[in-house]
Amino acid sequence: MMDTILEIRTLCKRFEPGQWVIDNLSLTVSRGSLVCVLGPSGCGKTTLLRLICGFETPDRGEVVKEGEVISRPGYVVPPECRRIGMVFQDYALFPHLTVAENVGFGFGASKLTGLLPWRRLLSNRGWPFSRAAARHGESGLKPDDLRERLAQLFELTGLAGLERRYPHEISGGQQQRVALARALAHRPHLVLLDEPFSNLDANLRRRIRDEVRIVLDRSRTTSILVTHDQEEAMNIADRIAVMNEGRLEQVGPPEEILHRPASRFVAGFVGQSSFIPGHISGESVDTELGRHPLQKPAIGAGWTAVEVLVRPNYLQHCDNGHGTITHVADVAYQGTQTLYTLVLPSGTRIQAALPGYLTLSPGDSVSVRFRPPEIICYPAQKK
Amino acid sequence: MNAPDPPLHRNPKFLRGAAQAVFALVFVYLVSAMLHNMVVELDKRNLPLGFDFLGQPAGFTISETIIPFDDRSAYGWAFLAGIVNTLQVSGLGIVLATTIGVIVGVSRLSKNFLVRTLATTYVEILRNIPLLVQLIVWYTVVFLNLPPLRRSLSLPGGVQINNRGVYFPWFAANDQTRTWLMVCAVAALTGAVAWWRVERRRRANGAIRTEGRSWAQSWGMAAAWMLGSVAFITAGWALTGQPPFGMDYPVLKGFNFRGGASVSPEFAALLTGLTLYTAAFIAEVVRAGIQAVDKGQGEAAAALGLGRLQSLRHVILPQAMRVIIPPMVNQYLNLTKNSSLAVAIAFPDLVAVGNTIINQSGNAVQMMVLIMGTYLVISLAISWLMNRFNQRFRLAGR
Repeated sequence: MMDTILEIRTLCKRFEPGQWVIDNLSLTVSRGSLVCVLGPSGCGKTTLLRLICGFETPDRGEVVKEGEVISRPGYVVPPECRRIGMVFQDYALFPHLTVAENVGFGFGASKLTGLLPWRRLLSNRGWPFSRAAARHGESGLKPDDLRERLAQLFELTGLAGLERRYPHEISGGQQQRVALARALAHRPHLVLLDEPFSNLDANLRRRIRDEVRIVLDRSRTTSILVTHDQEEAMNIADRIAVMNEGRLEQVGPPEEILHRPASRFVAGFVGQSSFIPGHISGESVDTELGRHPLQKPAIGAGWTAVEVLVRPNYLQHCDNGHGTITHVADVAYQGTQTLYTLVLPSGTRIQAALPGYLTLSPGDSVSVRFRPPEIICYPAQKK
Repeated sequence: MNAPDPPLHRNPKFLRGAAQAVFALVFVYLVSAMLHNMVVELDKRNLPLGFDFLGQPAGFTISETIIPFDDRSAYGWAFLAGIVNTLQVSGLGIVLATTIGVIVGVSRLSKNFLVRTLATTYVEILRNIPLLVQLIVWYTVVFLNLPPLRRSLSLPGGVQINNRGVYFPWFAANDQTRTWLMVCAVAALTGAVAWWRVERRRRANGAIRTEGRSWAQSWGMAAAWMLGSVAFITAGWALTGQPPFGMDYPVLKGFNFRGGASVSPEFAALLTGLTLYTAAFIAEVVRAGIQAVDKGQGEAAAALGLGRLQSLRHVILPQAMRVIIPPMVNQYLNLTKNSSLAVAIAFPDLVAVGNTIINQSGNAVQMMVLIMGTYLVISLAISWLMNRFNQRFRLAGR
């Protein structure tokens, strides 16, 4: 039984009248899962995270955590009371504190200050309610327990030995891990990661990504990760939520997003894709690359002019001359395969992944066959 | 083959040297001409150029001094009394202006509209009116217009305010005070040493700042310390029959208040004016410093569960300090130097006393040198202290 930890209900947010940055967005996150919010830059991903975290107030809708409303217009639980951890895009480490102090701030904060007794009376952790705090497994920790927990965290994130360094004295990948350790320190119910890998170089990104996934799994933390990098999303996520212009286009596991895109936007944004015009007649579709039966006729019902999705690997080289003759416009070598940009007779450009032994150069003609596992098409966009 | 040496007018080394030499010659000529002129003119007027006059009796009185002074004291002693007055008003002013300035500066960023607007109004009014005008207003409009002696305003705690100044209770030493002071000094010293050793051991054991003592521990320690000292004082009191020190209250006797301590309207006006004026600038410095800290830092602190005050104290202010301290030093120096405007409201600071000495003895050159030198030394001392303070915040950085 999957239980829900976070529920977003018809959330809306705008910064200027009439411009909805988040538009009627609903999303459910189940405990222990990693949800990736994937979308082009400027689609409202970061705003969504800030709404969940409590840095922004919604204009409509509500955010519910563990069955309790934490945000709705006119009512916002302050960020510091939400037990939602956040890893910022630029990490936002505290430059004046050592690595250990940065991480220690997560659970040592209330203890650190001893400030304002009345605040402690009002807060739901620490002294007067230390039993409740012990149940939550945070605060109320004795210094020894605290140190042990720190050591555990450093072990988990592979930071052991760096405790006394300052953030500017460690590498980008290490900073990333400090940010993660700091966010995990107070055992948050939910961790939000805002483009956490965008400041790392490509090789490091892959490694850190896997490490982060392992750390999140081992600490059994529910997390929401925001990214514009689809490869990252495909690799790390249990579920992907594709976002465009403040709306969710599709939510589902990575393979479903990739193979059964729910909208033309998702099809175009996820994976390499090109579209060719087609015409539906009966139970099949006519295209420049031949006539193909529709597996699910219902999809195409009522449509006539459509756009058919072409993935590079849907195209095969055919040397017996039965295929469609195209011209090579551009070549990009990718090791065992080569990605060609081909021009169809009508002038439509498509991308095709053909075997590396074909050494074609721009201007050459090549015959290809369209062999999709399943025809995916969308109503043609009106020009 | 050796290339021929370049001509002199193309040799950068020679050109640089020549330019410096010319500049030095002009400078030395100008300075020596001025000095020569001064010596010749002073000689014509039969004025000596030594500092011997400082030993002669001053023959004038100073309205208020901290060090004992009467008209038989020497000029030098009079000048020293002026210096002490300046130091007193600047020192108090720096402490008060910093306190008010930080509060107003933080308030300017408050989310509360009323607080924010009040703070902004304060800053905009106070820093846009010349200090001299403000001082005169404080002196003539406020402090000289307080009720006369017989109708003094009585504030709780025995404070009396009238147009002769502010009178307030002060500690009075008794037979036991000296012993108590010594006991306190010894206790503070041993306490400091013990604290330092414990801290050092904690650090050596690999403790980190965030592990700090728990809330119960620190408050327990504070409570124990308080109880201990109260018990100690009570025991001593019971034993000797005398409290550690007495309080002396101002009482109206004859034509003035006796007992306690008092400040003159001049001192009160100068301190109020300087403090409020400089606090407005310090508020701006503090606000700029806080705003210079990346907004993400505050959000990161909130995401970690730190409240607004906690985040201000542990995350924002320590980083803002790096930006705040250098301009803050400027404000301290300004306050100190602005205290020379005391001359306008007849507070005997070092400039006022210096002027009197010049008028009486005619040793203008020497006195001006002394006055300037004194300000220079005070300012450099403040800069040096603040630089050392600044080093602590510069260490950790990007």
